[in-house]
Amino acid sequence: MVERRPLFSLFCHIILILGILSIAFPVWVALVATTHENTAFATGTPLWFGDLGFSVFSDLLSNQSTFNNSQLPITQMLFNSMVMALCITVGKLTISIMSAYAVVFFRFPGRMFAFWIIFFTLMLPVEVRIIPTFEVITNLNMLNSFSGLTIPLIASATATFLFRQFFLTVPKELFEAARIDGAGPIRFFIDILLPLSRTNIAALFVITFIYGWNQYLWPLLITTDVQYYTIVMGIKQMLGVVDGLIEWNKIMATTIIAMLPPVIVVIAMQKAFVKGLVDSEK
Amino acid sequence: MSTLTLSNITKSYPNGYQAVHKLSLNIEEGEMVVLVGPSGCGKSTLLRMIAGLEEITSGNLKIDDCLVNNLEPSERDIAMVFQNYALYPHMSVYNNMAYGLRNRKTPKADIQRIVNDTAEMLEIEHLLERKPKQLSGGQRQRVAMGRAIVRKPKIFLFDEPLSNLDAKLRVQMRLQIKKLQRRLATTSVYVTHDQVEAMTLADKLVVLNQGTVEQVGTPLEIYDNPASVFVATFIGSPAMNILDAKVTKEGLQLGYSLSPIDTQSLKPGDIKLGLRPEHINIVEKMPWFEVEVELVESLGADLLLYCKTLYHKTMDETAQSLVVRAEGHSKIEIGDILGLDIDQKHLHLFDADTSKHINIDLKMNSKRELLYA
Ligand SMILES: Nc1ncnc2c1ncn2[C@@H]1O[C@H](COP(=O)(O)OP(=O)(O)OP(=O)(O)O)[C@@H](O)[C@H]1O
Ligand SMILES: [Mg+2]
Repeated sequence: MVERRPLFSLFCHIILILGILSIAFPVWVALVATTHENTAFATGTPLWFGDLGFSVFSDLLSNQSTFNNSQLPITQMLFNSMVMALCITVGKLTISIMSAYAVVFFRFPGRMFAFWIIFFTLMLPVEVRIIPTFEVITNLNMLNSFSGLTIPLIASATATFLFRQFFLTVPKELFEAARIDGAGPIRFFIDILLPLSRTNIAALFVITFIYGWNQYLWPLLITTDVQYYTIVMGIKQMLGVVDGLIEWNKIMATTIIAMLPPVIVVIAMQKAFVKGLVDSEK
Repeated sequence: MSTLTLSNITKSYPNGYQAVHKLSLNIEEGEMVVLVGPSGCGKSTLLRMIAGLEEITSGNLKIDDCLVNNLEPSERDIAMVFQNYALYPHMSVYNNMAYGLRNRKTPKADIQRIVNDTAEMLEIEHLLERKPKQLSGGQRQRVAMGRAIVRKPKIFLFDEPLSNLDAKLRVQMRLQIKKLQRRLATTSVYVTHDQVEAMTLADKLVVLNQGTVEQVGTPLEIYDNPASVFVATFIGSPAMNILDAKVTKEGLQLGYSLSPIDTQSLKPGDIKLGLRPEHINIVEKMPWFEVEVELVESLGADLLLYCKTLYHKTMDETAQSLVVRAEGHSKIEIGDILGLDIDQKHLHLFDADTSKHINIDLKMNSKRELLYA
């Protein structure tokens, strides 16, 4: 903004601070809750640290604690989530970057047809097609498996579109220069197109990783075996107590743990794409 | 060194547009051929067909008597310099130049030697570590040339390589390209729409018009003997003046002026006259026709006079515009009436219908003096 009036910037700051507070407050509550005995929650939500320190975390991670009756292994669930998120991310990026490459750089019969089919699936997100997809996965005996968890979520029109849009801005002379330099389509893809797409790949990696990590409905539907539970849906299972107290401190600790991988990915990748933006090479 | 032979090359684009019609052309070993023509005449299309980037609809393309119609660009052993240079943005200058060699499995030590030698020749050895975006336009241009040179191709192809540079740099690079081409003696095809570039670079000039060859020749041949009105107005700057005239028994009639030229061998009727601005003389006595100066442009060494012919209102004639080049310090002002004459050996005649050059020796009519009596 060019505006530099003090009142205006005060106003901006207030808005920003309100935004930050509303996002940070639940995280704060979660963090504080991990330091209290479970009994503390009966009287209300504590807003300042208790005296347990990190003991709830170490309990959780060391002895694979039980939540009332059910056994929910945190490390196993973290691992499952990680596998699921990474498979979805890598799968999505690979498939979409290759299909965008085909659609933009080659002329072949059925190209526009393929393009429109991809375009169409944009209108059918997982939630809309969840029942038929479930049916298919059941018939393929893929319930309770990693392939069942990931494959249906890999197909992505959005990522294909983003790459297509980017590839359209790559001058076609680059492709031609590479052809003259003796680089076939695959060499061109690896040597030139991929390095040029670095920034886009980093951005999509972040978005897709978080998308995969936060999947809730789909794992809930197709996993019945604790061995395949993901952490995000696992938290919900922890709430499902038949008798006794909800163990809020452990649940909050699990939530904090579940939040960490996406945060790490964002921070790590942010460097990559900020760098990409700064020395944008076009 | 290689020859390039095009016979009856035709290109139809998928949308049905025919960009090149039955074009035939021979390019000799080590020759610099410049394709010149107005925008959209099919120069790039032709060049891209030679490169193998565009399919040839029909006709034969031969490099060294070997049919290459269906070869991939890399198998044709050509190198191309693009208008926007098309350097690989993420690679250093060194890698840009080495990329083609690596793809051909050239040994590493050789690559290093060739790239360094070429960089030295182009005076870019201090830039080898930079990325293209850290280079100026002229430097990028030289890297693009370097990338073409390192491969030691049979044929160089240039598609308007200088059009993104400023005027001064363009002149410099033009000279450098010429020198390099002489030194490497590689057969080259150069596309441009700039006729000064075309004149200065070409061993052989090919004037294209709407997908066909209008004329082929050395730059001077084409300047001296343009085959048609199109070529006449395209080559030379400022362009040749084309004036409508009539052939009568007495001579060539331009407006109410009659030129003392022997017209016996011409058929009476309409005709087009071609006069280059630099060949028109301003005379005090016995002018062929008179003009009024409408605008004066000073170029320093020369004056360009934009004139219109004088005519009788009573006759069914209109004023025609023409440009005259005069000596830089001539005292000529807007509104002056000038008498003009032209040496008959510089006068071009074109058929009024076909616009083709009429090749006859023009003789002065012996009645010249009588006319002015
Ligand atoms: N892919 C295409 N499909 C259809 N027509 C095309 C295609 N590419 C070029 N043309 C047409 O072919 C003709 C010749 O194009 P070309 O690019 O060869 O012109 P040019 O002589 O290089 O012009 P310029 O000096 O502007 O670069 C133009 O009329 C253009 O509209
Ligand atoms: Mg062109």
